[in-house]
Amino acid sequence: MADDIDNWLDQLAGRAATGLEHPLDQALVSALHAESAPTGDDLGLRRLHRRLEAEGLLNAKDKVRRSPRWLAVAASLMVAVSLGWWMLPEQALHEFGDTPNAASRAGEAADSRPMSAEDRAPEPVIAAPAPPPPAEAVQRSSREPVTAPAIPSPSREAQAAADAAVQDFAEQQAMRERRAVTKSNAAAQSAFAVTPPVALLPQEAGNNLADLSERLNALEGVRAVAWPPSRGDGLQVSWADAAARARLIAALPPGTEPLPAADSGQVLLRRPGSGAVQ
Amino acid sequence: MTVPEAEWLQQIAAGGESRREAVSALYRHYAARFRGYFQRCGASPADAEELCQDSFVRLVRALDRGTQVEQPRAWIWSVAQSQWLDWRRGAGPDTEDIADWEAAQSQDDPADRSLHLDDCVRRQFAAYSAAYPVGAQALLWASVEQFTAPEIGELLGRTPGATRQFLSEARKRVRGYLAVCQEWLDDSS
Repeated sequence: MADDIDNWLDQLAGRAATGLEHPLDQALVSALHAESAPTGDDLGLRRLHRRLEAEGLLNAKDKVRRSPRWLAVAASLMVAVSLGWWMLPEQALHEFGDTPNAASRAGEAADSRPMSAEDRAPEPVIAAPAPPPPAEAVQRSSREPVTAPAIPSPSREAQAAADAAVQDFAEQQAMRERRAVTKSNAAAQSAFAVTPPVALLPQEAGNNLADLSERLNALEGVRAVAWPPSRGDGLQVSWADAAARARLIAALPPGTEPLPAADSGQVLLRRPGSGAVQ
Repeated sequence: MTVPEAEWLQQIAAGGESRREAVSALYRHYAARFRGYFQRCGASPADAEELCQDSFVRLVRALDRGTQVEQPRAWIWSVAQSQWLDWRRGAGPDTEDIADWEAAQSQDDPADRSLHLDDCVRRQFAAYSAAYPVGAQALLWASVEQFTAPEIGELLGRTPGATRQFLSEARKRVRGYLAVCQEWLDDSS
């Protein structure tokens, strides 16, 4: 049956080698083609043209493809410029000019002395306001509208809120820095920190390291902490510059082994026979 | 062999001034077929005209979006079919009662001696089309569009085997309708 109907379809379509045998089938094909014959329907065609034109579909391909691309680029640029302008307030720009940036800070830190705990404090974010001003400055800024943010003519309440926000931010920043220093000290004392050179104290220095630590901490530019923290049978001593080193040498018990020659550095002071350092 | 439809669709897709000419050529070629198809589906002549216009707009829009067409004729008809299905789902058909139309058609006496054989066959096919619109459309696709059984099956949503069965029954029915025109053949012989 399949072959039969396929053959009949081929005859209807004119694909078959032999034409339609039945005269009525031939008449049927004529009727089918007459029904589907193209018509000179100019009215309908004009209507279709008008409609396509109204919808922007007549000759539209080039316009449709080009304009959105340029529009998208232009819109992106405008959004980027607007966001860049409004997200970087005027005050931040001024303060940014006075605030050392991350690169210059890093340069200072790498200048000559080894990294100290203070140097490991987190770098300020570029867009953030300057480090916390002293209390006087904060109070002055609350009185002087000159230091107000870029918003023109703020109301008294808005000014107060802005000042409170600045003060709040300063406190938070100070707390963050304290936390960072503490964390940095802990890191320096951890097992992975570089162990400073050891200098042995003389035998006659006595056993009271606490007194020695107190004496050394009283010196300007010198800092002494018990080492290791768990046992406390040594002192980790650091000095900030050459003058501090000289003061430290003068304060150490006579007969203490020589300190490293660097202007700033640190050393582990240990009693003889108190065991290996970690 | 390149069918003219493929060239028209390419010109429409390319846009520019040639799009207008290609749309015109395609419309002249297919408008009457689309209208007949929609009427056979059950649309009134006015609705069929609207559906025809909507189909061409839909077709141009699809090509403008970059739709790739592999089989031009089948794709053109699939656009018209989608238009019909959307219209039937949306507005609801305001179709003529097929039974009334069939009754009106059958009032004509096919054995009227003033008619020519071709007139008789045309009228009888119209009667058959009113009673079996899907079968009539399938025969048009087979003869005019030169679609094969599987291609017709795709448009009808049937398997090739079921389509062959359907076409076999359609042939049997349409021959029954055309049997009354046999007299002209007998007279002429």
